[in-house]
Amino acid sequence: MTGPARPAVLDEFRAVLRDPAAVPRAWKAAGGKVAGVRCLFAPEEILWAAGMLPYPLPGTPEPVRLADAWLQPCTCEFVRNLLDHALDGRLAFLDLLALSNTCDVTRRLLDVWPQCMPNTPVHLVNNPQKLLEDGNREYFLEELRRFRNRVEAVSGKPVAADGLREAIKLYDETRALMTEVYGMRREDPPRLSGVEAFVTAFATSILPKDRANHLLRRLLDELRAAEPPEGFGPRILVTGSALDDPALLEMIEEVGGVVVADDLCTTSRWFAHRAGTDGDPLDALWRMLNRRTLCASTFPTQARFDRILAMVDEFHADAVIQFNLKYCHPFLYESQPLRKRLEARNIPLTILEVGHDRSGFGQLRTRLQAFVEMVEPS
Amino acid sequence: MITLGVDVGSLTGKAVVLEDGELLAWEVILTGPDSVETATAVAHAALAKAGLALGDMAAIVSTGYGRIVVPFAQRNVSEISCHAKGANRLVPGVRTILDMGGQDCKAIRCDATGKVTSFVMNDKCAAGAGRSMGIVADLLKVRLEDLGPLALEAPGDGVPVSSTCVVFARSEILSYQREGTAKSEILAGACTALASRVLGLVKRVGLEPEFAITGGIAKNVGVVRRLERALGVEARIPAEPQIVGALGAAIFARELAEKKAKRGDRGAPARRSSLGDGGSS
Repeated sequence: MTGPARPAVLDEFRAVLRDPAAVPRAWKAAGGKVAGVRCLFAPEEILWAAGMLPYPLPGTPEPVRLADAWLQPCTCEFVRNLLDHALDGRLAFLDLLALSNTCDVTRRLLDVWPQCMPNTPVHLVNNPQKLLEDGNREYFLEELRRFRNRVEAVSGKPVAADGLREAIKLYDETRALMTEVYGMRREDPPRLSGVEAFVTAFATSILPKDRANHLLRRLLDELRAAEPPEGFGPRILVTGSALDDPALLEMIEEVGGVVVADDLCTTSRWFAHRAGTDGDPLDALWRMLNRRTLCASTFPTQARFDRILAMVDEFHADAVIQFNLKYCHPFLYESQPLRKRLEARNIPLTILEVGHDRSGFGQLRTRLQAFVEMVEPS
Repeated sequence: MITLGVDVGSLTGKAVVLEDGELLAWEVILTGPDSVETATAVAHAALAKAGLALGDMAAIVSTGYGRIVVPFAQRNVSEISCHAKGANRLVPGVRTILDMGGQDCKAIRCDATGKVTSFVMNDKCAAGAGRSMGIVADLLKVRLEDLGPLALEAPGDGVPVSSTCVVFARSEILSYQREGTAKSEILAGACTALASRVLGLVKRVGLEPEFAITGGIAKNVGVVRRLERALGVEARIPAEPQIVGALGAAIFARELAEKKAKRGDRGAPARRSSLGDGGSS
């Protein structure tokens, strides 16, 4: 990279992305247990309080091979890629798979996964999809209790209220630190690039949070001391499906865009809300999850759009890119309603449908470059 | 001031030499396997027609699929921006452009200066692009340039041909041939299929006249007439629809050279490079 030197601690985050599974493997080697997590409604705090490492499963940009024998080829390429990992033994270290009630294909892993990895227990947290409603409290709390009981059984360690409160405190700290890191992107030019921010958020989601918090404090110090990078070009917000590969953001920044904000479940969605440690810790988790209307599988949709527009203002974004993974129906359903909301504010939007295996990237580059040229002042 | 625009497309390479806004020379050649060779060959061919060399150019801009690798270009611009810019020069008052190339189609909206205001592009599949017409022409042993007029001989929309997959369309056409269906009926069907496929793109971007069609398929009257009928507007076809992108690139090159002259040749501001070890633009 040209320009001023970048914070050295970023290399630690990049190393995590190069081989994310090294983190749970090291945890196992030290005698711990690991829970694979997919989607944001199976609270990691409960797993951490039981001494387990929550591992938000990342994929790899490879074509789907084995999973097509189990799932239709018109379903999410990311989830099919994860099932490939299950089938070829790359996830053999998992002691539990914790799923959420989000999209069809994630939900249905409850049936499919046990056939591919018969020895790994699978638990589905059946979260309500209509959120911001106090009426779901009793039901949702019962689901969280059931999840806690299952985690206790798998880990062999009870989850007491104090332990859970400690876990929430640790996670809230991570979320606060990540929010602070992201805040540095409000500046012009932002203090860290879109790719750097993504790498930080994604690696932090994978790492044990005590270790991550230590690295994030270092990053904040180094960012404050460093010269801001050179950043010309339109400021862009990226929203959409699960993104587990920095390649798309790299391409946006290669063609001259500056990604200043992202609304993704691998990044800002997991740290957008804090639980707090007041009162009953399960109740605190419910309050947080009930506000997490950030996935397109949840309602109300307009609350999500309100947040995107608030982020456009907060981060001074000139344009929005909605990224859809191939066959990610929840987000594809939202494309046109989102366009309407943004059009009303004269904010340019481009809608992409992207292959998880990076297929079609040549044409994608043309689209992204044309979009950046379009929003660039001439 | 003389500038050069080079458009390395999926099927053809195009080059345009421009002097003070006037077209000096242009060339179209088939794209070889090597984009650098194609770009170099077509640039030299166009320059030779004008009696000029690369060194005479005030600036050079590349576009098209091979735009990133053109070694002698100072800048690359997407073909979407270039088609809008080029069409703006050739078709006064143009606001909507349908570019139908060899491997993809784009519907583009632009303002009075030729700057893109929105666009949509076909999905990955090349059905509905020029390449599919080439396959149909080969199958029916019709020269590409005769395909459009022959398709117009059929009174209606022709026999149904798949618009979503060239491989399916191919097997459909084979069975029509076995049944003895007239060539004009089959070609009319293929043109209808292609027109209906790109119609959706124009509808998504929204049609505002003037409406221009660029790219190689603009030469296919069978497709153009059907599109006009479906959209209810007359399409403006530039005299050389294939060189619109290269012309746009040459105009961008002129703007680049003018900016450089104004800045006292301090060079363009460096764009931030990516963190990865991927290519740069």
